[in-house]
Amino acid sequence: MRRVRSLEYQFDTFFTAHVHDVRRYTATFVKDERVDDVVQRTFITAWERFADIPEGSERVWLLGVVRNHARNTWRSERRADALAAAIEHARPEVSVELTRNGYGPTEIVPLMDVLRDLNETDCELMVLSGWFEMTPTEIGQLFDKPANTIRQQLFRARKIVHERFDDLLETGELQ
Amino acid sequence: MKPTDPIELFNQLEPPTPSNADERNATILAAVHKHAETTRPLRSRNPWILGGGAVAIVFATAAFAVLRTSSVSDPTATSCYATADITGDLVGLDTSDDPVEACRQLWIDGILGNGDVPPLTGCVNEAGAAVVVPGEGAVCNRVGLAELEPGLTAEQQAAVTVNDTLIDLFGTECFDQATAVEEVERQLDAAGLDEWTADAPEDFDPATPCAGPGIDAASKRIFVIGARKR
Repeated sequence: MRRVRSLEYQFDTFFTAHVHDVRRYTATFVKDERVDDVVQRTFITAWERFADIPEGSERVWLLGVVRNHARNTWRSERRADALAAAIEHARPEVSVELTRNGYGPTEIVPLMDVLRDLNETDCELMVLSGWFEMTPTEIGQLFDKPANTIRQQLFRARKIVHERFDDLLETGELQ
Repeated sequence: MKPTDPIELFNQLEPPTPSNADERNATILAAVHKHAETTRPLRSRNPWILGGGAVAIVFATAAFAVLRTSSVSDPTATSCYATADITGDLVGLDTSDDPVEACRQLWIDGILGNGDVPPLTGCVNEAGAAVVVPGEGAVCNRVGLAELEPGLTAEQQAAVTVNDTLIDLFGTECFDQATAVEEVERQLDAAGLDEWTADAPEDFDPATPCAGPGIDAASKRIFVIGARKR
C-alpha cells in the first residue's frame, strides 16, 4: 500500500533538515536577537512556496530567501559588523588556545578588523565558501551569477583579506 | 614560525550554534504551523531565484519577464540602484539604449528616491550588465565596477529588439514550449543573428504552460521558460 505523507509532515522534515544551516547563515547577516525573526520569515516563505522549491537545491533556495529577508528587513545593520560580532562572540578566551591550530587574539583581532572593512559581497563569499563549503557553482546559483564570476570574486576577496591582514600584522595598526 | 593564513583562520572561526537553538527552533516551527493554518502553499511553479521576496523592485510586465529569467551576465539588462551600494535596493529594467537616462526617469517619477534626482553614473558589473548608481566621478570604481561605455553593439541591439518582440508576442498569446522555441529561432533568423541559439532549459510545467523569453547574451542565446497563463 502506498502511504502518502501529509504536506505538513513533509514540511516538518524539510524544516528539521535545514533549520541549522538557515540559522547559521542568518547569524552572519544580523545580530543574534534578530536571527529568530529572519529564520521564521524564511520558513514562512518556504511554506508558502513549498511546491516551488527545486529538488536538490533546497539549501541554496533557502539561503537565497534568508538573504532577501535579512537584507530587506535589517538594512541598517552592516553585514560586516554582524559578522565581526558573531566571530567575536565565538572567539576563545585570551588565556585559552582558542582555535584548532592554536590561533589567538593576536591573529583574530586583525582578522576582525579586515572583515569590518570588507564589502558585503566579499564577506558573503568568505562565509559561503569557508563556513558552508559551497562551491562556486552553488554560490553562483544563490547570487544568480556564473560560477566563473564567483571564482574571480572569491579569488579577489581572499587576496584582499590576505593583503590587509598581512599589512595589519606588519604595521600593528589595529582599530 | 609559519605565517598565519587568514583564510584558514576565518574558516575555523564559525560561531557555534546557540545552546538554546533547539528550543528556539521549536518556537519558530510552532509559529510557522500557526501561519500554515490559514495559508496553504502555492501550487504553481514559479522561477525560484526571486523566491522569498524582493531585493529587486520589479515593475512593468516586460521587465518582469526578463528579470525573472535572464542571468546577470545579460548585458542588455539594466539595474538602477537606490544608493551607491550594489548590494542595496534596485529597480530592474530590461533593455535600454541609454541606461543612465532610463534610470533617471525612475528618480524623476519617484520610484527611486523622493523626487530629487541625484547625479547618476553608468557602470558595468563583472558579468557585463549595465548598473546605474547615484554618484559622480569615480563612483563606479568605488563600488568595484567598471565605467559604462555608452551604447550597445549592433548585435546586442538586434538581440534586444528580438527579445522585445518576443516579450510582446508571448505576452498576448500563449505559446507552448515547442512553438515558442520555433518562434524564437524564426525571429533570430529574421534578424540575421546566425550565432544565436534558442532553447528551453526546462520542460514547461502544466501549471506554467505559456512561454516567457529571456536573454543570455554571454552565450548568445534566447531561451524560453514556462509562465502562467495571463
